[in-house]
Amino acid sequence: MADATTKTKSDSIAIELAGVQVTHYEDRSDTVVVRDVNWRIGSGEFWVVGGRPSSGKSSLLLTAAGLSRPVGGTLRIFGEDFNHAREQDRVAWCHRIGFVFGQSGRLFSHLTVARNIALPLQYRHGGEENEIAARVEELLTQTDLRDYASFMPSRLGLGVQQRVALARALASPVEVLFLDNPLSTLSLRESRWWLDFLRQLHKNRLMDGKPLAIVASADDFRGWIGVASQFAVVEGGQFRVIGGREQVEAAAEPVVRELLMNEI
Amino acid sequence: MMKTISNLTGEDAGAVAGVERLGAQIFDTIGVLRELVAFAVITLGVTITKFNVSKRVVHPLIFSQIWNAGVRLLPMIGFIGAIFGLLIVGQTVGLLTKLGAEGYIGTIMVTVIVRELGPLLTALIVLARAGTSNVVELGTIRALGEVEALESLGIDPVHYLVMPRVIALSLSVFCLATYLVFVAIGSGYIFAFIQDVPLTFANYLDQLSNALRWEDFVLFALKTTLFGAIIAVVSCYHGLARPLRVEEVSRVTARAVVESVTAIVLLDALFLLGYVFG
Repeated sequence: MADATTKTKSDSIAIELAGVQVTHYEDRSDTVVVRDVNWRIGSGEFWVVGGRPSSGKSSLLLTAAGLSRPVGGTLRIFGEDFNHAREQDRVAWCHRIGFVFGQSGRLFSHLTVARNIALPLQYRHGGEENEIAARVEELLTQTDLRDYASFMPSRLGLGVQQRVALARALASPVEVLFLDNPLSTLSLRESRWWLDFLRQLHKNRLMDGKPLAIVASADDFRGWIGVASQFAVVEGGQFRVIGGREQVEAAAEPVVRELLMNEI
Repeated sequence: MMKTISNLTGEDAGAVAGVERLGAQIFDTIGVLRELVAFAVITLGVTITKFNVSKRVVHPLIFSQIWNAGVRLLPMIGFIGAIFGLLIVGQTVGLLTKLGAEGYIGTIMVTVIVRELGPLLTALIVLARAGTSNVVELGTIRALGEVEALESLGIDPVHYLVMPRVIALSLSVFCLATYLVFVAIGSGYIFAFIQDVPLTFANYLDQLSNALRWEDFVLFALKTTLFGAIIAVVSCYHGLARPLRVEEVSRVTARAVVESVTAIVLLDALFLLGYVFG
């Protein structure tokens, strides 16, 4: 019985960081940018990690997603230790974890919008072209991108490019979706679209019984209040969990007040 | 009195700094060489283990690279091969006729074109045309963060970006060099014919076949394939293997060209031993 309880508990934790040292993901040196991160991302949770620009939020998200190697501590992804995982395990994680890069979403510049979305499906499954085309069509419709299907990324604005990156990350039935500062370059109207979409996506997946954990980073908490369920901050190289909406609104720390734009 | 670092004169200090720079350069070169070899080994491993993985995505990339680095270069290689044949025969026929040694035209063609300059010239043309564009293309992909995007989707960048280029360039240099050799040999005979050299086409071919040994075919195939692989590995390494900013792309392109040329010439020198002792 105790075993069953433990198993259920560990099953509900998608990603776990214990004493993890996060390095800058583009820096070849092992300079730690966020120290001793202790963080559990449960299935179906909706996290927003706030912090000032260049505070290490992106590096933290990339590390948590298993895309950047931590230099210390233990990172467990779906219960498996990152350091002892084989290449096949890491590839399998990529199919269960979606990552939407910030700004332009890092689309493949030599492929059209539709082919950007289709590439992970074709590479992974090599399935029937018709099935892949139908899935791409479905994603294009969901993300309001049908008019842009044959466009090359360079012809699109940053907001639309980022939406293509979202569709590409959702091509697989992911269980955790990371979004690196998705609202930073968007207009108010586009930000509203994103928040509505993510709220709906999170809600629908919970209803389907295949919960989706969402983890987004942000320079500003305001839009996320009422959308996300858990908040954390990165400040001075430290990661700290704040809690839910009430705790955030009641927090007295200057960094949280700043992220709520109450004091700047 | 023994000099210490602290009491060196300006001239001595300059010399020490020079030696330090040279030492740093040597260590840097060794480091790059080691990483290049490691990158080549990884690429070979991926090619062997994943050649048929996701073939509906990766195999068309091989064909498109063959088109870019091979088929599109055919007119240029044909033109250079023709000029090359005329020049070699043009330079040598007169000389050989003076010496009464017209019978050596075939031997000279085989030595110069098949063994040495044909593969080397082809490799340099492919490097200039496809190798440089590889570095710029991959360097831009790297600088724009597309490599991380591939990894995030579970797509192996070596499998998707490097393997098709290595296979395509190896095949392309081999095929283009073969084409260049045929064109050069053909144009060489035309020049000899125009100059009224008393040599029939049958005799010319006879001389060529007598001059060719079976090792020539093996070494030609090996040499050209390796030249192509070198160009691909060096250009892909400089474009992809290290984090890169857009403004660094032109610098790494120049570096890739220099390293490719050095590696190709060194390998060519190694093959000379094969011909000498073969």
